[in-house]
Amino acid sequence: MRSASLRLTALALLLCLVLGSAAADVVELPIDFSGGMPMLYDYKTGMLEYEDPSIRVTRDRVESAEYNCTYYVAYITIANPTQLRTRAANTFDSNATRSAKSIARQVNAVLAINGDYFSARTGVYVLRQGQVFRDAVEERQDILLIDEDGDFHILLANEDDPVHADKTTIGGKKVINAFDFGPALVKDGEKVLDPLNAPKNVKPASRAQRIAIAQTGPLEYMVVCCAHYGLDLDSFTDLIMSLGDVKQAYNLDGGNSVQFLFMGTKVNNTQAGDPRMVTDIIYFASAYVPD
Amino acid sequence: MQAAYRMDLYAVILAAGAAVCAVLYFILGRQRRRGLVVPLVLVLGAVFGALFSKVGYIVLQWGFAREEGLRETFLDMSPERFSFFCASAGVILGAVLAALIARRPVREVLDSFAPFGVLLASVARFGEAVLGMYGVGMGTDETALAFFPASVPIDWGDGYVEHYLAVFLLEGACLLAVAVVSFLCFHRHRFIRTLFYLCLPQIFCEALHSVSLVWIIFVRVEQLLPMLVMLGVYLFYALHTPRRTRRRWAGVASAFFWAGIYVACMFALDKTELPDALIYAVMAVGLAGLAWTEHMTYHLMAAEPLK
Repeated sequence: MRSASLRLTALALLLCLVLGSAAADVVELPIDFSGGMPMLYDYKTGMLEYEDPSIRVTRDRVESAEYNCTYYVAYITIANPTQLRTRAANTFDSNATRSAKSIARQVNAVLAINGDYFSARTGVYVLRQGQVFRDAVEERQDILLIDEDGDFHILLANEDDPVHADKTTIGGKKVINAFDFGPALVKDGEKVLDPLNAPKNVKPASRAQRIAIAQTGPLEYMVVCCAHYGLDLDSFTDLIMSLGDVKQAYNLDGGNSVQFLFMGTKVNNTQAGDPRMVTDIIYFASAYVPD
Repeated sequence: MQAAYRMDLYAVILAAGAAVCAVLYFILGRQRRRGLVVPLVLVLGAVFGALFSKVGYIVLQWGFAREEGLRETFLDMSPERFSFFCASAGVILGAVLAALIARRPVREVLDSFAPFGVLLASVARFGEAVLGMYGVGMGTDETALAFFPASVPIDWGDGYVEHYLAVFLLEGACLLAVAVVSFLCFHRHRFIRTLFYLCLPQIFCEALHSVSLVWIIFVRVEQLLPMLVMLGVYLFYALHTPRRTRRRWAGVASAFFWAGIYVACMFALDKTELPDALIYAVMAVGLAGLAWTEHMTYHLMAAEPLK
C-alpha cells in the first residue's frame, strides 16, 4: 500500500515536470516593432552573462595593449532569428531621437547597440522588421541585409550595385532588416574594408569610437565597440577578425552614438558624459516564456 | 508602439486659441473702429500659417520630401512634417496682407497685432501636449527632473511609460511672458521688438527638442532661422541708429559672437561627451547676452526717431 502511494506520488511529480516543461517554451517573436520577452532576472553591476533557453549573451571589456585601446565585445547565440530585432526611437519614418537605454528597456533588450542613425541622411535605405520605409541608397554605400533566417548578407558598393539590387529578398529569403551605414568590414570571412572608398563621414583613417555587428555562425553573432579615442577602421577590422570566426561584419554609426547596452544598462564608456540620443537600436531579445 | 499624437485635437486647440486671440486683439488692441482688420488677420493668418508650415517643411527638408514624394509629404499630417517657424512667418504675412486689404498702415497693424500673435504662438506651443514626442525633449527618468511640469509622461503602449522633458511647456511659458511684456512694455517698435523676443527663447528651446528639423546632423533649422531673424533685427537697429553713435554695431557683433557660441554648443552636444547641463548653461547665458544687447542697441536707436 505504502509503496503504491509512493509510486503514485512519483508519477504525479513526473507528470508535473513534463507538463511544466511543456508550458515553458521558446516562442517565435512577431516580425513587428513589439519587444522581446521579459528577462528572467535583472542586471547587477559587473554581470557578464545572461542566459535563458532562448538566448545566451556573454560580454567582456578588454584593455588591449596590442590595439592600444579599450574595447567591448559580446557574443550572442539565439534560438530563433526573430530574436534579432530593431526598434526606432519613435517610428522609422520619424527623425525623433531618444536615449538608446530608454529604447532598449522598452523592448526588453538583452543586448542592444545603436543602429545606423537612419535620419541623418536623405539617401538611406530603411527596411526594418520586414517593412520598407525609405528606398534610397547613395553611391559608395555598402548595405547589410539580414534575412528571415538571421543570416547576414553584405552588398558591396563597388561589386553588388546596392543602388539597383533587390534589397527585399536575397537568395530566395525575405530580408527582415537592412542597415545603411557601413562600410562592410568582412564578407564571407574575408576582409573587404576598402578605406579609400569608404564613405567620408566614417573617417576611416581617424581614431574614433566605432561599433560593428558581425555574424560568426548560424544564429551566432558578435558585437564589438571600442572606447574613446578608439581605432582607425582598418585596425578595428583586424580587431574584430581576431575575436572570432567572423563570417560577415559591418560598421555602424560611431563616435558619440556608440552605445553598448547589456540588460538595459550602458556598459561602454561609463565614465563619459551623456551619449548622443539616437534614432534606432539593434537588439537581441529573449523569446523564452516560462510557465 | 509609438508615442500617440492627436493632430485633430491640436487643430481644435489652435482654432480655439486663434479665436480667443482674435477677440483679445479686437478688444485690447483697440481695433473696434478699425473694421475688417481683425477678421482679415484671423482668416489670412490661419490660411498662410497652415500653408507656410507645410510648404516651409518641404523647402527646409527638401531632400527628405523628395524621397518621400512631394504629394505624400504635403498630405502627411504627422506633427513633425510641419515647420513652426514657417507657420509663424505665414501668420505675419497674413497680418501684412490684412493691413493692405483693409488699407491700414502695415506697421501700425503689425505693431498692434504683435502681442496677440505671440499669444497664439504660446497657445500653439502649449497645445503640443497632445503631439506625443513632438514637443518633448530628453527622457528624465532617473534624473531630478522627473516631475511635472519639468517633464510629462509618455505612454508607449503595453503600460510602458517614461517621463520626458516638457520643452513645449517651457516654450509656451516663455512666449506667454513675451506676449505680456510686448503688450505692457513695448510701446514703440512693438512688432520688431516682439519678433526679436519671439525668436530668442526658440534658439535655446530648439536645442532641447527630441524631434527637430535638422541639417547635417547637428544644425537645427528652427534654431538657425530665428538666429538669422535676430541678426536682421540687430541690423535694423544699427541702420536706424545715427552714424556717429558708438556701439551702433554692437548688436550685430553680438549676434555673430553668440551664433558662433551656439554653433559650438550644438557641436559639443552632438560630438563631445561634455555634460549636457554645462552646455545648456552656456546657451542660457547666451540668451541673457543677446537680450541685454537688444535692450542696449534698441535704446541707442530709439534715441532718435525712425525716418
